[in-house]
Amino acid sequence: MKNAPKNFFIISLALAGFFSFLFILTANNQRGVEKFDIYLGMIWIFVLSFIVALSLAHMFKKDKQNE
Amino acid sequence: MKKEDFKIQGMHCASCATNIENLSKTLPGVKSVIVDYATQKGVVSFDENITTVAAIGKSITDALGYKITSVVERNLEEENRSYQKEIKQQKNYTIFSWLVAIPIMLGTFQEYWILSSFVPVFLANSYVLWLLTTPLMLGPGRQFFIGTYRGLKHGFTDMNLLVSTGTGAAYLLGVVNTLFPNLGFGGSEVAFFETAALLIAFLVLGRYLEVLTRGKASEAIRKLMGLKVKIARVIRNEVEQEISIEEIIVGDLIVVKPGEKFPVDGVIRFGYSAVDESMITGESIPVEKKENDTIIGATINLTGLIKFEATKIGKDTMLSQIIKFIEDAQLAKPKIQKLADKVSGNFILIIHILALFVFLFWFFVGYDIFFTPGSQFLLSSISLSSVPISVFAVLLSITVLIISCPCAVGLATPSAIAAGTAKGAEYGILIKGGDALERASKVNTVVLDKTGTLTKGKPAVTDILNVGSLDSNQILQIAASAEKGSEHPLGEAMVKNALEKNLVLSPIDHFQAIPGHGIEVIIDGKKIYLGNRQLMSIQKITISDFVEEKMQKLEEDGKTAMILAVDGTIEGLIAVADTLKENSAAAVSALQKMDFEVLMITGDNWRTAEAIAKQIGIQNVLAGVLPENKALEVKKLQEQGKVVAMVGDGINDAPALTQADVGIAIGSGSDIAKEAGQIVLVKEDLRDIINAFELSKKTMRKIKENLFWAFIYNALGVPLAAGVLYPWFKFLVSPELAALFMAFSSVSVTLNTLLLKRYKFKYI
Repeated sequence: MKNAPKNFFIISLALAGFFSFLFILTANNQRGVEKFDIYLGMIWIFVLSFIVALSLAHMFKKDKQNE
Repeated sequence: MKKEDFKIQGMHCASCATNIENLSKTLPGVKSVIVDYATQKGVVSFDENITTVAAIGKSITDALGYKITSVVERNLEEENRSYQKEIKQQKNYTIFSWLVAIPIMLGTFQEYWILSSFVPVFLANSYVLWLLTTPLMLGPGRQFFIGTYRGLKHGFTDMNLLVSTGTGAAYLLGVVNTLFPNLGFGGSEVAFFETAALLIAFLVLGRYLEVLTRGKASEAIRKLMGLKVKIARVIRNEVEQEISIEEIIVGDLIVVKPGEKFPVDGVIRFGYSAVDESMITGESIPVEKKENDTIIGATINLTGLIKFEATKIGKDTMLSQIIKFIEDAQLAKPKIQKLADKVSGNFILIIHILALFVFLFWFFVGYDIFFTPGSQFLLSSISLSSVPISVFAVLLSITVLIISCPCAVGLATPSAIAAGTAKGAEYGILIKGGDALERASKVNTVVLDKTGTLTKGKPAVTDILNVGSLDSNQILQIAASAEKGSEHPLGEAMVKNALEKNLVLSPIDHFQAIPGHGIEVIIDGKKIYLGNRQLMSIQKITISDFVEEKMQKLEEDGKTAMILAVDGTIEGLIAVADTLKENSAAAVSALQKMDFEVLMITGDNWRTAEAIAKQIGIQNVLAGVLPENKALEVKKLQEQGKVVAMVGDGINDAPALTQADVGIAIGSGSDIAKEAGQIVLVKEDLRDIINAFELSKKTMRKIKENLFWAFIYNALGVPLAAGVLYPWFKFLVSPELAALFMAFSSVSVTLNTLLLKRYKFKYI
């Protein structure tokens, strides 16, 4: 459990990276979207999904502990 | 298992409290933890063989950065200094933020502003705006980023994260637009610095208001602690000397001059005075005190010089007990707060998910379908036509994050509980926390113990009937003389009554107690018998029908009648009974008018019980109930679906007080009863039961109102921020307006709570 925060951090980073990648894929196929829109969107998606993934990971950890 | 209080420094919202609770529960040896954001205090139950408060504190500090200090002895001055420091810091931050934010706003709005001619042109330059915004982000704004870093480091999310994400994004967009105006994010014309600056300014203002509100929650405790005396004048080895209050030991004889405060609790050994007890009991009229009367520490000696013996010192004094009571009260969370905690605990996660969806919707779908060129944020300089799709979607996403900060939710319940319990304490009604408040507000049945609660618990002479040649004073003089050495409560009542009437008691030549029947005494050569029917029968003294009739009448009224016979002739009857407290009947009548079902419970026989009940106006009597069965009777009522409040004072009432939904202990009663009760009435006045119920209802209503105000801002604000109305009304809330909304939600809750301070009790 001691390494849990580090693991959660890495998992969350990976998930955020994955979602950003999905965003780039989807946005690239969207008409009228400029490159900078994709960059900004990618950063924003990365930040938000990283926070969400990290929070969910800790929620999951808390539930496990309660069990 | 040990339970200890601790103080926390550095909490900024209800989520901080939840984070500390969650982390502490994972530490070895910790059984349970409750943290209160409003009072910045916590209580931890732990196994002292495994851990200590210091170790728990260190783990919390290392992990989350909050400073934890054990509360062995509270240092009022230190606490006050640290609180004042925090107020000063937030105040300085607020002033600085607004001093910087206003020029930024003027610069940004320059071309729209009616006063454009007065605003220097250079203020509109994006580099100048950057220069002004940066110290704002690094100064007052730094606290949010530090909080976010600490939280994320250990995987916790709180409102700092919402603020940091919102302001950080706006600031970075501004920097990018300034440095690379051709990149396509709107250029230097849309700097976004005013968004970041106003966000910080509003949020810092909100935080300042929160710190002020939090202070109100601890104000009652600080006031009470301020009542403590520091120096006492003690007589030791027949020498009067001044010592600090901590050096006083039980048994010390302490001198208190008129105008001075009593340093500790004790019993008067010399002197007579009027004492102002208003600070403890709420009773505004001074109470007269004489030898052997008890006094409460921190009350004021008004008229005469008093020497008293210390009986309770340190944490055992009534003042310390009251302070402890209020501190514990603020940590006992009602169910409604547990629900609010649960909601706000997951709120930040939900809002981030929502912000993600808002961004995706406006980026991929909404912008193409609904966007109208020329539309603007409400009260903002940003022309949405000049920003690209990504910035548009990010701005809406930021607004959602900012508008939904659950600061007001965190303040809603604790601030109302603190205000309610403090209001009660001011008038001698001590309520053990939100849980007790919640249950007291739902009570519909009140069970009153008889002896010591409805009655004074001390028998007194009620009737003296002369049936022979002696008048009533002579009858009392003889009876009191005979009972002079007696320790029997009935005898004591007669002696007390005779002394009150200034009767001179005669010496006795012979005394013999006849157990269960009475006494035989010789006074001035006359043989006196004082006792019951059996005593007269044994002594072959005839009781006439007239005397018998009088006796039966007294007994029907719940009184104990004793016959006095002098030289074989019955001279009179003396009736002794427990007398009602002054406001018992008024309290019962008021409770009945308020539709409470009122019952009296007693171990007395039916005849006595019904006589007392009749005097008070109670129809439902539970008589002949043994002390151990009182709790059972309460349980029976609860099984009928009633929410029961038990009012009692004695050790024998403790199980029933615990069994009841709300146990109300009378202040003059035993310490055990007070420990068992969830509400303690410091005064003897039973009408305080009504005051306590009404205060509970009022406080619960305040909590619900506060939660409504806290949630309504989010419930209305979040959809508005997400742009729900935009497709129809082209109406969008700007991030800075969202920050203003958020600050207002805290202000609404604070103002609503402050209204409770103006509440006036029905009976004072």
